[in-house]
Amino acid sequence: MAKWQIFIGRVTLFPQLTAPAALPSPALLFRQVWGNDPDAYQKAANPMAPSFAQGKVNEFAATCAVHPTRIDLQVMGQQGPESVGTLTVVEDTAGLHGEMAGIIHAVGSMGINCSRAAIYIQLVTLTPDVKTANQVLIGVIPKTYGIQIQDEEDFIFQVNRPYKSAAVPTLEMNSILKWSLEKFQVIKLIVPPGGIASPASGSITNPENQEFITASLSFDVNNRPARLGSHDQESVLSEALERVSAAQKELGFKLKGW
Amino acid sequence: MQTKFYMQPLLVTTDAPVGGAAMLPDALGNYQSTTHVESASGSNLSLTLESQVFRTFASIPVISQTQLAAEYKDLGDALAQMQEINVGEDWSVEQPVYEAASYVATILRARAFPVPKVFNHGPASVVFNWRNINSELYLTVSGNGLSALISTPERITKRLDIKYSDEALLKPTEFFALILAYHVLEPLVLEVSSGTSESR
Repeated sequence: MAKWQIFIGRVTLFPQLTAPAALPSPALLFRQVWGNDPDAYQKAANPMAPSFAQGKVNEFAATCAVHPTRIDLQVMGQQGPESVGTLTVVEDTAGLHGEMAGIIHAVGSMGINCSRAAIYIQLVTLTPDVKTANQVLIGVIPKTYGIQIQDEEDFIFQVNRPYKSAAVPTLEMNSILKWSLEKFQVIKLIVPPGGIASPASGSITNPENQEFITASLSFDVNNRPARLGSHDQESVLSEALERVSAAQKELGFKLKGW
Repeated sequence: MQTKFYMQPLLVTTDAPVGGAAMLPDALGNYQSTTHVESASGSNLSLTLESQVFRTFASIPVISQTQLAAEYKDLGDALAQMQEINVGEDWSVEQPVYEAASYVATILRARAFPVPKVFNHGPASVVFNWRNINSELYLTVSGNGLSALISTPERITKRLDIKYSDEALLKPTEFFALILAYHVLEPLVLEVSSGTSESR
């Protein structure tokens, strides 16, 4: 089996349309979830654009984005000096599982009324070309679906296996599996000493643009719209995380810690 | 095995056509939008909620995404300026109203609805406006709910009031699609199958 690694893990809350107060700032939520201040914070001037807080958490890159209609808390691999220009993935899958569980626990005390809560995990494996990526995908798509592909590009196959939540019995859940061929572009900028704003630095060195072809499998588990208090959000997301764990095992993956 | 697919015009109505005349399809065999009335029980709507059955062959006029993005950015900038007005002045907007107006604008943009104009604003409300050839649609965003009013020069043709606590606003996109469909009197196609968390 090809070596699959986690590209991104994300918890999303979709606030209800209501007007009690402003949503908390991403910097505040970052502290609430990860216990320390973010390394960077960007507040959007336009209220329809997201504000971001970003920082390093253990060996992961953590981001909190707050938008009027959604709050994203996501974890990715941390890019080091040796990995600049490459596609960074998570080596420590058990550690990422722990981070997801920690985010979900923190959500339980945020006090944000939501209509939906979601967990999203994307696995990728790098391949040299499209044909190899398709072969890898065919290897992890259950035979029952009868999918046959060879050198087609932009392949996407998605199914939803809805279920009733056991944690909050009134809730109906979406459990979406998406197999796809994904191309990533990584652009590496070489900034001269003094920075690009320095008058002496002249123009920026030509950026290096590298494309990566991956086979991708994503798990997207979320509830259909309903009124969700903080406690229910935590319960539903914990259940969703277990659902992802079970699904990856069912598909033959053996992610450490999941 | 060969499967044939047919395109079937759909007409659902619980109202008898006005004057007893049958509704006729157009030259292409498509029906225009039709209406059927649903019970408003359990809802806080002030008037009966009607739902539209839309034909699936038409959509809202296609607008360049780039143009739409630029126009929505202008709308966001206008909202941001409202918040900068000092509290207590006539044109200042209270924080909860500002948050709700930003939410509404973001939902409208996400589903590529036509960009509204800001018709009026004050501490307790922001009023968005769409103008059609024959009618105006005013969407008032206040601290406790939304109010949509459609009017022609002669009369008010439709009014919907809804509180934020109403179940219908758990799916706000459908509410906005409904009032815009009333306004333009054209079918709107609304994607309802997506269960992903990628977009909203």
